[in-house]
Order: sequence, then C-alpha cells, then structure tokens
Amino acid sequence: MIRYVVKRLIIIIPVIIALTFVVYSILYMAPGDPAQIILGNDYTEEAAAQVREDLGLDQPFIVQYFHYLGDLVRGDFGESYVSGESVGAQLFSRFPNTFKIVICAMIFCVAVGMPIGIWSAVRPNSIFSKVTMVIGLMGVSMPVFWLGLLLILFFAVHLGWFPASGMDDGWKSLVLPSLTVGANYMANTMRTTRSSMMEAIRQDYITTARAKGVREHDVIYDHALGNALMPTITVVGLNVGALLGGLVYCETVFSIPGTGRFLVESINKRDVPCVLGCLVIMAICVAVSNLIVDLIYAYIDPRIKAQYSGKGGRSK
Amino acid sequence: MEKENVKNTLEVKDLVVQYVSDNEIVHAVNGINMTIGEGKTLGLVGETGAGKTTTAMSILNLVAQPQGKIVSGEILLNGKDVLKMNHHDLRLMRGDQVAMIFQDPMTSLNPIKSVGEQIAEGLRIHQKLDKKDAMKRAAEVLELVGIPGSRAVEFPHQFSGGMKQRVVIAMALACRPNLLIADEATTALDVTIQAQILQLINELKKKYNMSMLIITHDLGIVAEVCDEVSIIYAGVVIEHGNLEDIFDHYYHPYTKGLFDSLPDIENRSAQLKPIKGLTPDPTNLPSGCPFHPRCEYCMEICKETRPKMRQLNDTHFVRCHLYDDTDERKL
Repeated sequence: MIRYVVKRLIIIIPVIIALTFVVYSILYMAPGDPAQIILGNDYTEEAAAQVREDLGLDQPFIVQYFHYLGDLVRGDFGESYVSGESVGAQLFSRFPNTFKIVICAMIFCVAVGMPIGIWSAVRPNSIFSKVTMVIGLMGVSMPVFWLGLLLILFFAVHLGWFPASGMDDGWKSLVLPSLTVGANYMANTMRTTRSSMMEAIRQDYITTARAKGVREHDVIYDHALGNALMPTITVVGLNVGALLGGLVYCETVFSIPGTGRFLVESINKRDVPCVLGCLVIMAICVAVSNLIVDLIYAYIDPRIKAQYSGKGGRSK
Repeated sequence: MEKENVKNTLEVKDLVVQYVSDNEIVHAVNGINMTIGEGKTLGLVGETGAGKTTTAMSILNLVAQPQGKIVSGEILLNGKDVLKMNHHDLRLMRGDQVAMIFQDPMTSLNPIKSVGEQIAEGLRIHQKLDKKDAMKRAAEVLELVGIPGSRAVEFPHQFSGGMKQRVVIAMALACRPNLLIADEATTALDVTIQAQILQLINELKKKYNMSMLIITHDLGIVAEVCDEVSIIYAGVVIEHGNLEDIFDHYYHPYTKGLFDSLPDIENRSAQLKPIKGLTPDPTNLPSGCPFHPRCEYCMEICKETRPKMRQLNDTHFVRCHLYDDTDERKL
C-alpha cells in the first residue's frame, strides 16, 4: 500500500511538469509584452530591452521554460511582473482562504448531499425524493456567479446575517461563499449518491442480507452504502477541480482574497509568474485529491486493494 | 403453537402473490399449497416464470416491494404464520429458522465484505455471538462446506464460482435453520461442481435433519435429493407426489411434457421434444386450466373450468380434467 502511495505521488510530478509546459506556452503566445506591463509609462525601447534581458525574456522559449521549471523545483515561483513581490509569498497568504472555502464546501456537499441522496434512493417514489431531485437539478444548472449574487442579496443585504464580502468575519464569512460554490457540487453528489444507492439496493447481495435477518438500517447503511460509495467518492474527488474553477467566480463575486481571485487579477494584468503559480497550486490540489480518492477506493473495495498491494490478486 | 402442525416444518395454504405495475397485474402465484415435513425435502419444479422464486421469497416474506403483494393465503412455519409476523419477528425468523441459498453465487455475496464477516453476520444477529466468536464459528462452517477456515478473511472475488456457492451455503447453514430453501442453487454452476454441491447438500441435510425446499427446473436434481415433488405451472401446483409417483407414474400432460423434453441418451438420433408453445403471459392467464392452450389432451371443459386437485392415492395428487371421474392413467 505504501509503495502504491509513493508511486502515485511520483506520478504527480510529470503531470505538473506537463501542466506547467502547457500553461507556459499559452502565456508565452498570448498577446501583450511583459516589458511594457512592467515599465508602464516609463516605456522606452532601451529600458524594455534591459528588462527583457534581466528577466531572461530575450532567450529562446525552451530556455525560458526550463529556467522557470528549475526555479519551481526549488520552490521558487518567481516574482510578480507588476508588483515585484514574490509569487510564492502571495500564494502562501491567499491559498488558506481558498482552502477553507474548499473544505467547507466539501463538508456541506458530503454532509447534505449524501444523506439526501441516500434517503431519496431508499424511498424513490416519495414526495421527498421528487422534491430533492428538482432541487438537485436546480443546483446543477444554476451558474455560480448568479447564485452568489442571489445569496448576497438575500442573506447579506436583506437579512444581514452574513457579510457580503471579504474574509474578516471568521466562520460567518465562509458560509455564503461555501454555499455558492458548493451548491453545484452538492447537487452532483446528491444525484450520484441517489442513483448509485438505487443501483446497489437492487443487487442480489442486498436480498441475501435481508434473508439473513439483517436490520433494514444495516442493510442500507452497511451493505448497500459501502458499495454505492465508489461513484459518490469519484464525484466528490474529481469535482475538486470544478470546485476550484467555481471558486474563481465565487471569490470574485465575494471579493475574497484567495487563489481564484488572484488568478483573475493576474490574468488581467498579464502577470505571467502569478498566473503560473496559481495554476500550479490548483493542479497540485486536483492531483492530490485524485490520489486521496484512489486511496479511499482501495480502503473500501478489497478488489482494488488487491490490485495495489499485490496480495490475493493479480498485480505488477 | 398448534399441536397438529408441529410435525410439519412448513405449510403453505392457498398462497396468492401478485406484482402490480402501472396498469397490469402479474399473477405470479395463484393458490399454491405445499407441505414439508420435518427432515423432508420437497422439490418445486416448473418452467421459468412459473412462480417458483416468488413462492420462495414469500416464505421469507421478502417479495419485492413495493410492486409485489401477497394477496392471500397462509404460510405456517412451525405452526406460526409468516405473513402475520411483525418486522421484529420476521427478522428473527429470517436466516435463523429459514435460510435461503440464492440462484447466482456470483452476485449474492457482498463484494466488499470478507466471506467470514458475511457468514458471521447471521451468527451475530441470531446467536448474539461477539465478533471474535462469530468469526471462529464462521471458519468452522466454512470447513463444513469444504473450504479451509483460514480463507474466512478473504473476499468473494478471491473465490471461484463453485467455491462462492459453497460460501453461500455456509452462510445459509450457519444458524442451523429448520428449513433450507435452495432456489436454483446449482443452476449457475458447471456440472461437476453441481454434483459436488448436491452431495454436500444431501450430507448436511442428513446431518442436521433439516427440511428443504429445492426449487429447480432440472428433474435430475430432483431425483438426486428430493423426497417429494410438486410440479408447478402458472403459479399453481398441477401435480404432486413422491419421487416414484412423479417419475414412474406421472398423470398430468404437462409433467409428461417435462419428461419428454429430456434428451434421451440411448436414442441419440431422436429429436428433442419440447413442450409446444410458451409459458402463459402471467398478466393475462388463459381461462380454465392455464395449460390448455399447450395441452395435447385438451378438451372443451379445460377451456372453461379450472380443474380441482384430485387425490389419486396417499401421496399422489393431480390437477387435470382428464381424471375428473377416473383414476386410470391416460397418458
């Protein structure tokens, strides 16, 4: 098992290298001259040439790229073109805000989406089940920025329960952004849980369990849920990427100083090192969450575990 | 408990089960009667869709909800009516007094629990054993069906089909039920494994003096393990008797059809003789005797009136208009 984790961690490295390459190429080809952005009104041909030389921008693309990669490996994200601050330090101060919202959204999605999904699967013809399906459909189809604005309007402006923006109010300032970004996520989880639970409940081993005299509660939560969890975990884990994407809007709507808003600001300023830094962090998050998903799989399903550990199953 | 019923492990009286879908009613079981004495084995034989599995599930009161509905009848298990039990009593009965071996061992084991856990589960529920003792017992039960006890910690995917069916049998036997229901228990297995499993079932039945209900469409299996046979067609028993009655002196044209459709090893050039036509549509059963559209002896009365069960001798019963006023075999 440990070997497998290490193997998976090592696989993350080429993924990140490939990602930086793609992002670096796109930003290299994007219009806008970094020298012009940095110099602003002081722009002259000589100054620009000087800046390019200082930053190594006069060198061929591939040399620039490997330069960046070399720095990245040492944990150096470079400096912002605009402010000259260290990108690493800026990410370090902003990422925790994003992380907090991601975790809250995840808790919201698992704590609300999964139980509703399970209940509505156990009684698929009940009114409860039908109502939740409609709510689920709304959650899936509602754009993040729109939902965010509505929530601000109602809970912040109208009722005044939660702040409309920023991160200065402790847990209160987490509520609306987490709900906003988590709504879609929660709805997805709910729908997946529901369908995989309904699938699991139909299986023969459920009848076997009932025929053994297992309590209905245990039939559902022990026998069926364990099997139904796989698709649900996939959705929860893989949607971390979508969640981070949603946060780009969400942090902008709520003016939260997080990685998502930082990314938008940096793109607007064509601040290449900052954009790269944000994307690398997000990519690492997605890769790590996928790893966690795979580990949970192995924990739940002995068939997958056997493949990884090489015990009792075919493996390499 | 009523004294007169004590000898019989199971008595099913006039069981009627239907599945109700949007506009249709599936008449799965239409008045089945059967009795299984202590330590006896009854074979329930019929084509696909004859209502065999529904009957078995009714005994556990586990007919698929919400479509399935037990409309009427009594199912007396050691004298107590299963259909009148509350949830709690039902749970205590299932797996303890009655255990079931399901058709497909590939799907009837939970893939994410070790086989030991799955066997132990019943023991923990019914015999209130703690986890450790239950696992120990589970390993013993596995030994009983010919699997090393040390494999109790393994998961279903690590077993072959025949081994899985042994696990399923072990699970059913764990609490020493009075009645074991085997629903096509060997259908999914290949012939050599079938023989092993049947032998195993036979041995265990003798060892624990269990009553058994064997559901099958394979007359060979019936000959191997059963004491009595009920032939069922469209949800009713059409002929019932002991092995000799059914195998050597069958009376009902359908039973004849079943035997005729067996391949004959001595006359290999002979064509197989299937029963003409298809099993009747259970949403729209034929009037009168449900077998009449396929019956080569069909008479006018068969199309109109449902035949009654007629007793031919101590053990042999038949439901056919051919024998309305004669006991003489007409096939």
